[in-house]
Amino acid sequence: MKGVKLAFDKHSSTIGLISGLASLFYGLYLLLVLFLPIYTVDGIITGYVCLLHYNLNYYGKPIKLDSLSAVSLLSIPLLAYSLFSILVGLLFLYDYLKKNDVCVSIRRIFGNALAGTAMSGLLYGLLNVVLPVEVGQLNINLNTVTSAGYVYLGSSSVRISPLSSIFTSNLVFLGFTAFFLFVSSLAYVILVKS
Amino acid sequence: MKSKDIASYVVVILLISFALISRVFPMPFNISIVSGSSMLPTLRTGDIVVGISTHLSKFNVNDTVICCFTFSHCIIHRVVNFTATYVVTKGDNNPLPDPQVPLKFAKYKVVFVVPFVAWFLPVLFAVSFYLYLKRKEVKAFLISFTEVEFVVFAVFLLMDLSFVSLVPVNYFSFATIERPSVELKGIWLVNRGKVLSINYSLSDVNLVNVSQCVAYIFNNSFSCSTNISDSSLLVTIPSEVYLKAYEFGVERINVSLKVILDKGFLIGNYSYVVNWRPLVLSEYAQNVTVFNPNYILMHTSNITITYMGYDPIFGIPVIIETRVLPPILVEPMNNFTIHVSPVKGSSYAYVEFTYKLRGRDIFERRKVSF
Repeated sequence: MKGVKLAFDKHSSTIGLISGLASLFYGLYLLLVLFLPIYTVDGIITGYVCLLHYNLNYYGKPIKLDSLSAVSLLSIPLLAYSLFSILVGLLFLYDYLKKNDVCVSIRRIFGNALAGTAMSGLLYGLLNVVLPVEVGQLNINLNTVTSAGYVYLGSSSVRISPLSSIFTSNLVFLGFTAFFLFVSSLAYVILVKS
Repeated sequence: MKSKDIASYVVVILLISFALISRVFPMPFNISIVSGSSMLPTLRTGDIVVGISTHLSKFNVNDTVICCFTFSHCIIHRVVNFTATYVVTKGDNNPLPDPQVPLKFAKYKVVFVVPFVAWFLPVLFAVSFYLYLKRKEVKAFLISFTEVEFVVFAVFLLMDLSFVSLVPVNYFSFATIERPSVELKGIWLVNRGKVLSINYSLSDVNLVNVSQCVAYIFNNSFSCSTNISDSSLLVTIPSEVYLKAYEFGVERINVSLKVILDKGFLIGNYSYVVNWRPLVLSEYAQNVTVFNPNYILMHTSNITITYMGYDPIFGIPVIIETRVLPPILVEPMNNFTIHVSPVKGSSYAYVEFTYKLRGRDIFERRKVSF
């Protein structure tokens, strides 16, 4: 199929365009999820936690937590994937608008969507398993009774950011991933059949 | 896709998964990538550590071990203590050790470290150089039809697996952050009962100020002043407190404080005991010393020195002379000495006085020999 310009009909062309846009917006969505503060902390610990980075202060002094640093490191493949997804989407749109051959782009998008299923597993694990446990440790209450008496040293509470609770909900990101996979598969099947 | 390529991908996936499997199942060695700053400056983020199974190579205190608890959670810290059943580790850069864990979780002893700068840049350079050498083939591949979707999928799948396998998530992160604490070390009276010294054991917190200090006995409260000295509070007890306690016959005095800390505040209620005791008399070298072990002034009265001698004919004791001294006020926790000089013909003398203790009259007498 090398170098063959395929004549898509209007219907297939629309599906191809949707898959390209889906790749672009999926990449942008993942980028947003990576940089959006998911949790904010108030009290004796203040700051925020995103997937790619975090900023926490304990009694006004910055602290580093190895578990959150590990989450940041584990988010690097997601960052690479999101940037690639945006690039692939933009390349498709370029080819589409220039009326170039879009076959390679569609295959790239399909491969990208398949990779998205693996990435969604990583994202799901970070958002639902690792982060809640690690960030949950930041809910502390240091008010206590000791041999010295009643010691009031403050407490901290963790809140989920309202915006990120929408974007990082399982329904949204799994739904988005499923939609992306569906349209890219459809475009790929149409490509293969034609 | 050729079966040879599929087989290559499977082998690579298995090799990468080995790192993941070795966290839970016993394997001869484990490879992990350090994340976090808990082992600075020994290990930095991105360093690759190679560990040998602890079944093959036993560890000792000060060795760095990889403790793995699940597929995803491991820590790479230094051993500070271990027994037959548990091990305690600590990050070099952490103020506190980790909670102790069963010994079985210490799975690998770190034997080799590849610093991040030693592998990342060379690998990046090598890959870039390889891609540059193969640039024509790469360009042709990227614009061709063949297998691009599988390559994209395989690259990201391998990247995903590599990171998940090699980068463990640490446990106990926040448990190793020092938390401020205030404990009572002790209370004692100093400066002859005028000052109550309250000593604290402080961790990551400092005393700033005292906003409220009250000493009270029953329903009577007395304002007190304080001074801060490092981790101690010096509470000046007003003398009226002791007078009131003596008046009521109370032996326990309570002090209530509100102490401002740099990270919060402390409300403490402390009490100490005062025993109302008789005056302590001692005699040495013609001196009678009267010690007041109480925290109030003691009034002594009817102080007399009776000089005694012996009748030259019958040899019976006779009074040679009697001297009456003015009343003496003995300061709290202080001495007063009565010097008894012999008079002509005296062989010994009696020093006598009376005082009141909690409503009772007490008579004291001491013999002074010449």
